[in-house]
Parts: sequence; C-alpha cells; structure tokens
Amino acid sequence: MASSTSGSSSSSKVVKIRSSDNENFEVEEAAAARSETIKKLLEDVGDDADVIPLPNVDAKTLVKVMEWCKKHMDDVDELNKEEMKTWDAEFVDMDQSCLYNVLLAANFLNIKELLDQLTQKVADMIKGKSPEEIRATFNIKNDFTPEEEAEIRKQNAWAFE
Amino acid sequence: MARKRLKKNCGGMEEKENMPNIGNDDLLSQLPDSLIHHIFSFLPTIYFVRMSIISRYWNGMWLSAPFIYLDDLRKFNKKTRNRDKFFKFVRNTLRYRKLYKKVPEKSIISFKFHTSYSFIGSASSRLKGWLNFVIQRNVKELDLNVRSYCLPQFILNASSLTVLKLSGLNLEDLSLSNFPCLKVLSFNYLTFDAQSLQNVISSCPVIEDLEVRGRSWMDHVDFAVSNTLKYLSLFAVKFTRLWLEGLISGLPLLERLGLEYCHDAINISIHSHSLKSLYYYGCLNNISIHSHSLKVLSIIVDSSSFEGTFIALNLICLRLVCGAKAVISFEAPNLLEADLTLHEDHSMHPNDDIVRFLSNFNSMKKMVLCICEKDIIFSENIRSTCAPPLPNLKHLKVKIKDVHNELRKSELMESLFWCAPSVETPEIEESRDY
Repeated sequence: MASSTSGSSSSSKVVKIRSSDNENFEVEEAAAARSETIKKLLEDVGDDADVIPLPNVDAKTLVKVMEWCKKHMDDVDELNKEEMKTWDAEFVDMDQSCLYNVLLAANFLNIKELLDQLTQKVADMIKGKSPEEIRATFNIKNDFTPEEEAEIRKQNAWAFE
Repeated sequence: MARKRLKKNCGGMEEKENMPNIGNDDLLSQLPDSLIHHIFSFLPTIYFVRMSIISRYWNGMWLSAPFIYLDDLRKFNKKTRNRDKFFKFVRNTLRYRKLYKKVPEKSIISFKFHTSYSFIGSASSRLKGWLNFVIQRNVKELDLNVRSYCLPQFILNASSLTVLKLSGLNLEDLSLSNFPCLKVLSFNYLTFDAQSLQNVISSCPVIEDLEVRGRSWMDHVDFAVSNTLKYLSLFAVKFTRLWLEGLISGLPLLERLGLEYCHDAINISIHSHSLKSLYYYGCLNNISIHSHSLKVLSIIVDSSSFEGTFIALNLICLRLVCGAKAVISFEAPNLLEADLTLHEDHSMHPNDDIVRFLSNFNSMKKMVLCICEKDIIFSENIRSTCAPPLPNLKHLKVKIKDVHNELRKSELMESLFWCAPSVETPEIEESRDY
C-alpha cells in the first residue's frame, strides 16, 4: 500500500522471466534484481535480453517470490518498518510444501533476506519442540528399529539431561 | 510388526511420487544440507543434537554443521538449572566434534556461546580451554556473551576472525591485537578501559562494521578506526563533540551512523559525502546535518525542544519524534514523506506551536502523524487566523495516542480537513503506544 506508489522513478523498466513450466512474467527490473542470480543474468545479457529462463522455479512459486521482491523493492523503506514486519510474518505463514518450494527458489535465485526469513520460519517451527513433536510437525518417519533407537537414545543421553 | 516394517520400506522419496498428498511428505529431510545448516544456525546446537534420535537420516547430522551455538540450557529446558549439566553438555558437544573425523578440522566457521552463568575461578580456565579448541580450528565468527569473563589474550591474536561479537566481558589491560581479516566488531555492555578498546579497534585494518555499547554513559571512548568503516553504532558511551566530528570526517565510506543514549552528544554537526542513513536517539540541543548522500534520517529526541538544520538534497525518508517546540529548517527537495510523532504539548497555547511545527513540512505529500487528540484539535480561533499548515499533503494517517475516552471523531475530522485541505480521507487510528 505504501511503497508501491512511491517507488523510485528510475525503476520502471520491465524484464521478462520464464518459469520452469514455461509461463512468462513481466516484472519491474528493480524487483527482479532483488535476486542476485537474475541481477547477474541481466548484467551478462545486457539490453538484448529477451526472456530470462528460470529452469528451477515453477510458476506458482515464482509468483510468490516476485510478490516478496515487489514488496521489498525499496530497501530503504525505513518509514514502514513495522508494516513490513507484519507483512513479512504473514508472507512466510504458508503451508509446508509451499514454504519449501519458496525456500529452494530463494536459494537458487540467491535472495539473501528472503532466504533468512524463510529459514528463520522453519527454525521457529522447530524451537521448543520435543523430538516426538518435531517428527509429527514435519512428518518425519522413525526408521530406527527399537533396538537401534534404544542405542541412539543412550548415546545421546547427555543432550537430554 | 510386519505392517510397521512395510510402511517403513515405502517411506522417503518413493512416497512422494506415489502420494500426491503433499501434507504427508517429509520435506524437511529432503532439503540440501546447506539449507538444513542455515535453518539450524538460528537455533542452539542442542536442537540439532537432539534431532539425532528422530530418524537415521538425522542421526549425527549435527556433527558436520559449520557452526556451534551453545546457549544456556535454562532458557531451553526449565528443568535444567544446573550449571554442571550445562558444562557437561558443552564438554560433550566439543568432544564429539573433536572425535568426528569425517569433516576437516577447520570446519567450524562460527562459534556462539551465550550464558548467564558466571565463569570465574576454575570455570574460567574451562572456558579458556573451549575457546582454545575453536580458535585452533581457525574459527571465523566468534560471538561470546559471558558476564565478567576476562577475555584471554590469545583471542586477540586469532587472526582468522572475520566477525567478533563480545557481550558482558571484561576488556581491560589488553595489549595489542591482530585482526587482519576482521570486518565486524561488536562490543556490548563490556567493562573496558579506553586504551584496551583503542588497542583492539586499531588492529582491524579492514573493519566495516563497528558497534560499541557501553554499560553506562560514563564509559569513555576515544579511538581511531580504519577508513574502511561503513557502519558505526555508538550506544551509551561518552565522547567529545570534536572527537566524533573528526572521526566522521575521516571515514569516506561511512554509510550508516547510529547514536543512542550518548548523553554528551547534545550538540552535533555532521558533514559527510557518503552517509546514507543516520539514526539518533537521546537528548539533543542542536543538530546540523550537511550531507547530499543521506537518504534516511531518523531522530528521536527525549527533550521538549531542539534545533535542527538538515541540508540533504537526496533525503527521501524522515522519521522524527520530538516536541512541537522544535525548531527545524530543511533543505531537502526530494523529501515527500514523513513519519512524525509529537510529545504531548503542555504549553498554554499548544495549537500555536503545533501549527508552526507542522508548517515546516508544508511540501510533504504523505505523512503519518502520531499525536495526542487534544493537540490536533485546533481551535476556531487558530483556524480563522492561520493558514493551513499542510496544504500539499495528499495522504495523511493520524495515530491518536493516549486515548482514554471515546474518540471525538467529528471534531477531529473537521480539524484535519482544515489542517490538510488536499487530503480526501484522513485515516485515523487509535494508538496505545507512546
């Protein structure tokens, strides 16, 4: 609401990017350049770039990532710090499969701040939970035999005192 | 039993293909190691150790992580209030890392040790041993938060360090140190003498980020720093005006400056060609800023009045918290947005000051104003004698603080329409924070 209308005037240039499932998107250059990967590709191809292919990111995920990039286009947005915090918290509040897809995309596209927010979100899901609760939260199957599990528990007892 | 085993066999990757129901997948375990490490770097290592009993995949995975983060178990587990148990945990963590041969010895990049236990007497030599262990592995990032612990000299010769963050320690009687690669240096609530501080800071030829937080504003600082510095933050320390001005003029790359609770910094003049953001919090008499590179300015003033001169042609973002008696002059043609918070006005004729104050911002297009209700409801008298202070404003959000009773909405709207006639619909919000 606040930053989109007041973005700096020099950033109106648009770039085209293509998802792994062949959907094309037009994005403001300043938003797309939040990704170090895209930024570097843009520098390499110069002005004759037609469409930048992103073979590792599907359309659904790319929409999410670009939504974040647009919001974070002006990195000096001090005025709306609190509003941004709320927005970010709502942004990372997504279902797990979506979260991992965006996480992997942020990693591939090299968007450090987004990557930090997403990994922090997963860390918060782990924090304060017992191993059993962690298994349940992340659907991790216990593939130890009962004998193995007893042994592993014994070995790591020092971390459970 | 047989059923259980069957289930186990079709787990993992296969299941992902056979079952489109993504809700049942273990996606966390499928992330690349680098991302798993990134996730666990936010958590005390104990979480990562405890993951060992979750599944075969997670068993022992913590051993190859490039970081060790040891935090008081007290915060983690209320049952564990025993210092010996914490010591035992630390000892075991480091012992298993030592015994683990699958990763190279120099694989610990970051070591973080935060505790509220005190390390004096024999405990002190234990901690020394632990630190020695990570220093020998050429640790790059060291973050220690230990009350009253005297920093051993060998830390100051750990030439592999790129990040050093110290909280609560004693930094006294230290001789020269050697940090050829150090970029980030942070001192929080340390007990230090000016000379030891100077010795450490002056041994960082490529430093970029420096933060010094004193324990009280009696902590005197007087240091020289490499001209590679980009970010400087001083909190609750004592210095002279001349020293600060000299320091800043010798830093051609300085981008961000933060001054908080520095009680002597009441008269400040800043000239810089590189500064992009300035944050000030505290008492202030007079501030003058002359910087064409400055983009973001945030000033929070405790005192009821101050004088400010801002010559900043590229300023685009302003946050100001002060009293309406502040005298401000601007030369910032690109500044179109402001976030203002005004202290409650106790003067006899509060409206006069506020109209005069707001007139300083008459070129603004967008404003968030946090103010007391009574201060923004202008009297009939004022409205008939003064010109509207914010004629060019297009968007206005008013946060009314200190709301005790029902908001006088219609009076408020009438007053805002007079104050900013170009605003179509002012947003009004009740705010309970000050």
